[in-house]
Amino acid sequence: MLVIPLLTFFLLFSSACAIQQSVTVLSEGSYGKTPTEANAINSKAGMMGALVAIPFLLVGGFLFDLMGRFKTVALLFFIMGVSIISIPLVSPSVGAYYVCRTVMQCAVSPLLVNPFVNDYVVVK
Amino acid sequence: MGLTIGNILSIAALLTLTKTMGIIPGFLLSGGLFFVYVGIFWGGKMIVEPTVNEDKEGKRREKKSLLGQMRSQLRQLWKACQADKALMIGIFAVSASRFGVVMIQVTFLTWMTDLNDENDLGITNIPALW
Repeated sequence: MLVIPLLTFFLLFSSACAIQQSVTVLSEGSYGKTPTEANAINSKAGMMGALVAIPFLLVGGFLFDLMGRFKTVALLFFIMGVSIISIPLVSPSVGAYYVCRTVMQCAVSPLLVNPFVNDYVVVK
Repeated sequence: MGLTIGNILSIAALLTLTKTMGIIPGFLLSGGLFFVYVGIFWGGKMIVEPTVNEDKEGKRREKKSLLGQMRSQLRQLWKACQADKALMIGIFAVSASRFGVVMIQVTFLTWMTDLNDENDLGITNIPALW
């Protein structure tokens, strides 16, 4: 039972911070953007990520069925970690920033609608 | 509960900590934590795989390629939908509502970008919308 709140806690604990950091790195880091440019890039990254995450939600369901739960969670967490660490490393390329943010968002969406809660539904 | 506590602690504790660390170490910490989480789940054996398949069925499934398994699942889904029309309606309804929610987020973010560009509001903290 602990895995459900723990998974979402872990997910949000690191990713919410990474999102805030990724906004700051655009204007204060080596990307060298003005606050207005940083806002535009950040919201465009969110928009692109959300669009790509739509089909990825369906892919996520397949991944849980095909690979198993632990392997899927581990793979998506690994992808999240790598994409977050890559954000300052790929600067000043804004295109690569978009890719990192999109990959990050795609990895989050299947984890937020995980199938763990199904274990607690009893079929009679 | 996990979402709320995670969000609050992330901004209150982790973001404050990473700000004091500098850019690259800060990103290393927030990204590296995901590897620690995998270790916690693995070490604690917290994720249990469901045993919905019989042994025979499981072995047969393991022999198939990834593409074969996907085809098999789609075929099973199609059969289930044919047997129970409510399931098909449910799948389409859930997909449509999910698409709708994401499209609202996308429209909102686009609007925020345009609004900010035109009026130079200087908003640096557009919320994280998943």
